[in-house]
Amino acid sequence: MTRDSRTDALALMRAVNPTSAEELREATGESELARAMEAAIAAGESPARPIPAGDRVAMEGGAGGAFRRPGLFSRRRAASVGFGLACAGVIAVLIVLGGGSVDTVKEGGRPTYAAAAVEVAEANPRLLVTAPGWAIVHAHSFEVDSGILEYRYRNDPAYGRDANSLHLSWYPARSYGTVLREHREVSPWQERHGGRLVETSTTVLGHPAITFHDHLGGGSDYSTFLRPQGRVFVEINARLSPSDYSTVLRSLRAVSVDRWLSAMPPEVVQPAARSEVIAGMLDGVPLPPGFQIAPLEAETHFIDRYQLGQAVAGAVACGWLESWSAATRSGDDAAARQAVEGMAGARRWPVLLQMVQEKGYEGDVLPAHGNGWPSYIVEAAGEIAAGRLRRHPAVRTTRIDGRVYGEGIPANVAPVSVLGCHVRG
Amino acid sequence: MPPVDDSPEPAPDIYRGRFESCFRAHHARLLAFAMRRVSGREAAEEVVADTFAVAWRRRDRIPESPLPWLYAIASNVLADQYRSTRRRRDLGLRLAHEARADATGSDPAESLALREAFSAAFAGLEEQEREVLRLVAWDGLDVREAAQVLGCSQGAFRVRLHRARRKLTRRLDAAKPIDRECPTPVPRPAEEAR
Repeated sequence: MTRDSRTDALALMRAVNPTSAEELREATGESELARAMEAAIAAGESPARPIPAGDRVAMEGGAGGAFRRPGLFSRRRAASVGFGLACAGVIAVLIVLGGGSVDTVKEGGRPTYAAAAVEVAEANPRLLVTAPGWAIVHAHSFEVDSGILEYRYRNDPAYGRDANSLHLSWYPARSYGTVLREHREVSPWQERHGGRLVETSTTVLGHPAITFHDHLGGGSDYSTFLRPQGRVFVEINARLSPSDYSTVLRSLRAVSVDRWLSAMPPEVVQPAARSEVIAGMLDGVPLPPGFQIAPLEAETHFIDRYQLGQAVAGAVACGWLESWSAATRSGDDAAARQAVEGMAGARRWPVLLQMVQEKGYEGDVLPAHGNGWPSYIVEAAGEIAAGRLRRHPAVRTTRIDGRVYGEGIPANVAPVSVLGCHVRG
Repeated sequence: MPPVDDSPEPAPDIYRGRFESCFRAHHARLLAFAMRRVSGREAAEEVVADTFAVAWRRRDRIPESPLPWLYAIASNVLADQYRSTRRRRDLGLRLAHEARADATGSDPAESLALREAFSAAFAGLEEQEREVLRLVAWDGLDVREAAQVLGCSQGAFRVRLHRARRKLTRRLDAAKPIDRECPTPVPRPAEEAR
């Protein structure tokens, strides 16, 4: 056989690849990598350092994907990913807009908690783990139909990120069958790692439930699903020994709205602390002329720190952007310049950094340009610095029960639209 | 006395975490990319450093799949260095000589013949053709990603890839026949069929 019929140039090239990235990766130590990274950052920070101006990186403009809501389901383990994805599609089209677009919810009969938090609590079985040492450390999400509370066992000397953590989650009641069905599917990966799923019917606080015990990799992973109660059903999930898990289940208590909300972690902001939290968020952030804190303090809709951060940072940003817009229209160059300077450091506003950290926006989790709410503020700052503040394309909105929801985020959306600023053309 | 670094620590910002993750995930591949295109490790590390310096300045724009974006920046860095230092010697030839033949089998004679056949054929291509082939065969990009790096459409890239591949194949076939057959082609998603 001649080479003519067999030669594949690309296959040959692959075979003679002169440099292996894998070998380079293995040969590069962590300290060397860290030094190289700091050097690159220092070079990037240095204005004197010439950087090639080649502009093929302009393709970055098309890099943004669809808007997605971070946080919810992001930390669920693999078994529930299918369910999470199914829900994400629904969530993506119903996004409560940040900034000033939400209506104020009237204070009800519980003046100590946000009305929306009370709404969550009232629709929830409100189970608390009362075994000594366990405490809620984080609310990954906290909404009427879905939420994830992370507990940690604080007495554990080996206290770490994955050490003795427990998740208590709730989901829409209509998803109960789907979730159970997905949970029963043992993936090939689980099988390869010795996964063995044992399902038992049980009761929790007298309520029917199903417990799955997964002996994955010789470990012990429990999930207990309580039959739906009202709008939601509850799942308890933990990697614990059989006796510890049994202790946890026996310690579950259904509690009052007040007690349940008082057990929530700091990011579920309670009105009594709201003023202090807002003041902290404004620290290090230049305020636009005439900025008023009182409306933010009076707002009771926001449940967690992230939402409050959106309101605070959004109000400041909108203040500057509206000021810039007015100054530009009236020819007030000094005021326009002041607004540009006020927004110039937005990417380093502590409130935005805090939001990024709280949502786990780190590494690959940080949404790309255009996908993360904090980035819209930075983008708007860039626009006024360049002398043009876009108002279109705008977020497509819909109004449900008097509240404004984002229905869709067009590509290259105008940041002021996402922030909810009232900028006149 | 050790030198004191008194340069101010860059203030954190909301994009630093993303940059750090991108750096850690892709540093090695970018270094390999550079080493396939410049002479010597030191020069390649310089390309990588300059590339990530640009990436740091544009860290608010790091895309979800940053590798083609990084390669595009690195290509610009390389082009700039070529222009300013004329560092580029006959890279195609050098790389062809450095090409590793061990992956094709243990027979040294076969390896040598393969390497030399490839050296001659690859060096005979235009630089643009070599780059198209490098992106797919060595840098592991698919057509869409490679087209992004070169700033052209996928269709245009497919045409370039097809022509370069055909030309390389012809040159290989025109070279002195070797005793044993080339490695069996391994289907890869990056090829023109996609």
